[in-house]
Amino acid sequence: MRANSNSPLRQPLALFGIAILSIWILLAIFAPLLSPADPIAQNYGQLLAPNSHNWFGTDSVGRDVLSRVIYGARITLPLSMMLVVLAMLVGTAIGAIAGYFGGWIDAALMRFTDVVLAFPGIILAMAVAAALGAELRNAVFAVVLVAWPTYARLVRGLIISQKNADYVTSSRLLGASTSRTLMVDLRPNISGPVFVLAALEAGNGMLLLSGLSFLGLGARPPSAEWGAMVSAGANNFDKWWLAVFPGLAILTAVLAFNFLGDALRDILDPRTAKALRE
Amino acid sequence: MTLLEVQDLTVRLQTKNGFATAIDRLSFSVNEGEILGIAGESGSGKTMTALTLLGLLPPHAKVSGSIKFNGQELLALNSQEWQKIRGSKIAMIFQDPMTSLHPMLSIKVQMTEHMTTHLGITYKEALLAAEELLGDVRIPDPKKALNSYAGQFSGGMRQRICIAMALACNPQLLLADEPSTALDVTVQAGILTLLDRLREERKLSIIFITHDLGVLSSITKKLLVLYAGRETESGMTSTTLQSPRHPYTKGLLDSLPQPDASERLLKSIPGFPPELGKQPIGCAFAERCTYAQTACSDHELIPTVLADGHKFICAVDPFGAISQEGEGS
Amino acid sequence: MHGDLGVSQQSRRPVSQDLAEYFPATLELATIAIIFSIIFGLLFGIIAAMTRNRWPDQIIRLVTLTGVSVPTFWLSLVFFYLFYFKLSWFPSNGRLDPGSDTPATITGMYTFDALFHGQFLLAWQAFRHLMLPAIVLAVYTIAVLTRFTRASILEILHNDYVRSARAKGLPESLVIRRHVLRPALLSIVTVAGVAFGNLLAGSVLVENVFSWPGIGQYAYRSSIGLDLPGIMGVSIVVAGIFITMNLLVDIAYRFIDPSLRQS
Repeated sequence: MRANSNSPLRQPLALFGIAILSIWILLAIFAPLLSPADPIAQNYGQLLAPNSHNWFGTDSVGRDVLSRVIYGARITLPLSMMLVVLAMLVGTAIGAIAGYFGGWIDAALMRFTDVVLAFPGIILAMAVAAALGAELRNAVFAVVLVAWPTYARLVRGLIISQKNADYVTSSRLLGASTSRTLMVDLRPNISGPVFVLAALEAGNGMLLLSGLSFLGLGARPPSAEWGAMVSAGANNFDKWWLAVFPGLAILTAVLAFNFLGDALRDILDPRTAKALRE
Repeated sequence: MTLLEVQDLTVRLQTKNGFATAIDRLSFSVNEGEILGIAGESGSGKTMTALTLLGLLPPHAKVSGSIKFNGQELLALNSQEWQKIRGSKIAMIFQDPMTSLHPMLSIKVQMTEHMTTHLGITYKEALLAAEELLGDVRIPDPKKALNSYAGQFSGGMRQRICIAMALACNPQLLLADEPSTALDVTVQAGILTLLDRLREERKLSIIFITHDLGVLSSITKKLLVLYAGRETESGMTSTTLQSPRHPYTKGLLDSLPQPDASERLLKSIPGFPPELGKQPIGCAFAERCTYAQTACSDHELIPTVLADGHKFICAVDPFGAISQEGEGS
Repeated sequence: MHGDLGVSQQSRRPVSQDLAEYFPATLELATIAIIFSIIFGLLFGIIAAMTRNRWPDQIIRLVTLTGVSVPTFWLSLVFFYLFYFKLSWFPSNGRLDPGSDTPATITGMYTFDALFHGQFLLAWQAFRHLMLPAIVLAVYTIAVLTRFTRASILEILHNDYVRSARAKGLPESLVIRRHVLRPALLSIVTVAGVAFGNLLAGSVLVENVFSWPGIGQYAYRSSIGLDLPGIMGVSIVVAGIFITMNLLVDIAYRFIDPSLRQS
């Protein structure tokens, strides 16, 4: 029987996820040092399949795909993480306010949340991104707009279930202000599930963002953003290396986030984790 | 006639830190038509004992010793043979009636499914038998009850249904794990009366598991006190409870609320039972015992057996002198 | 809710007419995909739960984790390349071979309509065109359903009433079939309903790669062209679908859990 230890370092999947993410982060940070060629150096007429010189081949204007994939990490990764953090902050704030104050504030905020949720994610994101203009920054905004309601719902539920707990009541009796109650007393009990949700949603965020770029509503060529690279590859699909490698990059990064998310959920949500493990 | 004979039953469970002994060399027997009470706190191993008698332990558990039921060695059975015994020769009712019945299956399905499996009768015949059983356990309007669902019944009713379900195939032995604990006192009395009546009508043997000595005193003939997976005292219920010899038993008795007591505070036994796997050599109760001496913890203790079968395992026997004046003559 | 969704700026036709034309294509795709997904999701989920922590479970968990991590637009391209370009197992774009006549419209779903008219070859042709996009869509949904089924079953296995069933001496297969799968089915139906709604709404990327003329494509064109009535129309229709799915799930609940009918 496997040893059940609660440290993230003991779960092989989490380790694997952390390892992959670390590799990508390192690649992103040290891209200039690690990438074999200049990602924008063009070499017309040199559309090459993967070979010993260009491990991932070159694209239609002769740029080295491997280098572009590495540099692409500098775009896709930080933006995806930023988008998750933003969605988490916005959603948590709205959910906490709705849950804590209740009444008409809750009703109004939740109605608003429901309206946003009623729109299917990608369609709303597409519409917003298109309306704002096809730019990576706007695509990030669109995805945040689509993503925050999930956090709001979660946090609202948690706050409602906790706000009448004894420890909160005693703290308020001792004179704690609203912000103190929220930040000091309630926050530790909701941050666990919220972080788990964030880890689980990080992958989806990246998929949606690169999807928008693929459709031409986010980053556009010649950006080395992975979704945009796949899109460029779609036009010459017989040159398979153009689309396959950036897509693999997305796949490994999202996989890593999901490994981490699963492991985090195992650690921080013991009841479900116990049922799943035995 | 001895229906069930348990000898040196030992159950070890796998934990994070290796194997832990949940039940340590337990021995007892049950005769036909007899009620044996097993008393102990939660964690003492009482539910585990019952589960062992049904072969329902988790797969990684290691069991040794002997369980002879009708002369047949249960620990040698394979899963097919166990299935034939469960529900048909040995049946069990569990502590929480609210969760023991399936919420989505009708009562008639739950009552009849094992009847058709074990008794080889048709569904229609099983339905009739089920209706009669529900009447036996005093469920009003059995026909309607059969077509209802668990959620429509109160706790007491559900427990009665569970009892009917357990008796459906006419088992010889019924294991009752805290059957009345989750119910309120008046309902409790009803369940106990029911069990006693059924015992008499069907020559049913019952192993009644509970922490409540008051309940045991009213219904059981023999009893066994478990602590940390080990037997501490056993014997006829009346003698054991009137003249307890083990300090743990005495502690349990003392902690029962007395309606006419002058003191306000309820007595309780200080401390906690040892964690699974950390039972010491000698007496497991020694660290909480007011009469403990060094002899209690430095070697294996030998049980003392009195004339009438009253058995206890205590090196100090602090109540010995008092009892001998009352008993032994 | 009324039929007037405005007029599309791009097509110059009523949006409702546009949607009536595009919707069946997506419905067909989503239906085939959800059927695959339910069959395989249940199957793999049950296997994973029953063999928990042994090698079949580990493999299934790894594969499903990959399944929810893969970008659908990329997978579409990969499948397109492999199964159309390299292996020619499946046809490329469109819902039918060029030059084929569409079957007379009943539902607008070519496979069903063709079958209804007895045009089996045509139905088969339409089906073959469906396969690639349907499989890509199914990959994600199978992964989700498998994970959910597994979790559901494992949670139920812990319940007291399962122990009661075993204590009655019932064969394990009966315990699983009757006592475990039934409650598991409840939660699975919910997830499947939500998944179907998502398939109907979210197939934008797949439809884009395979040039499938469904509402996903319509939404894309409307977005690019900033055709507000078009976007609103699609959103309203999809919201309506979600609501309908919820209702259907509710009905399915009462079917699976008879105890609900009593209250």
